[in-house]
Amino acid sequence: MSKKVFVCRCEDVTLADLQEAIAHGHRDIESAKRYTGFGTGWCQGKQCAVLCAQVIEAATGVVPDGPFTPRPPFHPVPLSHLARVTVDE
Amino acid sequence: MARRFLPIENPVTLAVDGDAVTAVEDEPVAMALAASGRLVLGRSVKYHRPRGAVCYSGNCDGCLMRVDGVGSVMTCRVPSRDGMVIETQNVIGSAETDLLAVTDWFFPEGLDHHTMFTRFRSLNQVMQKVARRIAGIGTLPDHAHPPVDVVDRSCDVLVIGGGAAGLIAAAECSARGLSVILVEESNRFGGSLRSYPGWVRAEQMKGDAVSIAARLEAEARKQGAVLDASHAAIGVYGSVVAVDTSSGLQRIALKRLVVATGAREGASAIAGSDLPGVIHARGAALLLEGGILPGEDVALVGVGSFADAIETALTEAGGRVAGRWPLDAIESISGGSQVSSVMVRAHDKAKRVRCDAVVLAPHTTAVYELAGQAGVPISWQDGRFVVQGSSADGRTDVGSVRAVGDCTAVKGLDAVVRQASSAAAQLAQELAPGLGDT
Repeated sequence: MSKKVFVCRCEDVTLADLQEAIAHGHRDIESAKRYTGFGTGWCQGKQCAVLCAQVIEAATGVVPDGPFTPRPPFHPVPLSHLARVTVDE
Repeated sequence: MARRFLPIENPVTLAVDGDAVTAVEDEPVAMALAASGRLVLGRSVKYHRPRGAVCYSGNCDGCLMRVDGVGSVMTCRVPSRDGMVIETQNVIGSAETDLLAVTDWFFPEGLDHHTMFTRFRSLNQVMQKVARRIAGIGTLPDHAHPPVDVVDRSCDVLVIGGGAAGLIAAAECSARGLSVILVEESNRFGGSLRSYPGWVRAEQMKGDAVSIAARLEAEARKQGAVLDASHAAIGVYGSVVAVDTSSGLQRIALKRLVVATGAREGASAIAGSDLPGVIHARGAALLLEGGILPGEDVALVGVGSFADAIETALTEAGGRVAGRWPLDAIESISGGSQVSSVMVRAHDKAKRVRCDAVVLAPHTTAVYELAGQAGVPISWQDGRFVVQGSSADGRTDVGSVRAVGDCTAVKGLDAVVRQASSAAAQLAQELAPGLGDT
């Protein structure tokens, strides 16, 4: 095991990855998320969002104006459960 | 090693990568695996680092396995049944010794996909093929599952979350004549009370937390609220909430929404904290309540009454607490495929402490996603996200939505009772017959 510090376990994003993203100018949570991929994995940010926001706040001194936009589904859903959902026209 | 300290009732047998593993019927599969000493359940997507359950409550990626031919199933949310076939996914070899873990060694400083192999187009294309083989979680199911019908339901008030706040809101709304459905994603009610191995003292409720949870559940049922466990709200679409169950999706139409989604524990920036055997305190509490000791030598990391209660429960269950430190005293966590020691800094000296489990009790943070989908603002307070619901009555910026309980960072059970009761009283007034719906 190498000595990596992870901020997002689902997508294997390290603290160094996030710090580099911030150094590249991704100084808010939405932008840093898009660059590093934290919060885009299985748990959709349930584990990482707060920690990443803390890291960004510490590095930039800017108070986060909220998490990245939470979108459905909150948990993964089997496609067989969605296949018969009618779509409003 | 993790083990059971209570005898097994209603045993069933799971086939785990070909081995027979005894489980308690209906016990979450991930907990049965822990009880059999199996903490390494999979590998991470990129570096193929060993992965194990962290939260035992559907909040992490740690327990994903293939269950009865379906990949990437959260085994912490699957009840054990006799004959269930559980398989490791995403490895070459086994979860313990995965050949693909070479990527972790090969790139000790990490692997930056923005710049790696991007100079030559042909090399980049080859590397993309390699990366696609290495990365990812699980493969398609053995066979297609036929589509199932969507069930439509309706109610005056839908409550999301079956912890103390949700149960109180449901009971009080029902008592005032409103039709109430409460959906809870886990398989039981009581939320954080249900897994709190200690005593609670509130003005109107004293006793051990689990009994208080049972009393609140009984009261909500008595008042006529429909309480549905294992029903996960997965999306809020205005006046309709989508709820997923093991048998299919439900569409619940509502007049008022009460978000009582509680709080959870999140990741900590500690080297090695992703190792199997490192779990969160609420996960440890769920294991202990299920008669499972998370380890023989447990390093306990955290301060506060919840960590106190965990320490007592661990000791009473026959485990040894190898030591207890605040989060910032932990320099790193080490191990091969699972945790074997922590490096602790005390009085400017670092020392290594051997352990076979680490229980982290970080500050909890609001479960904000569903409130956010409903349009309720999420703010940042003391380094955490908080759902903006009034601590007095749960009012939010969205007229049809109340937010109550831990997700609003209201402090203490007494305050939760007042907040949820006030919210219910207002909802009853707003929806009173004859006044019309607003």
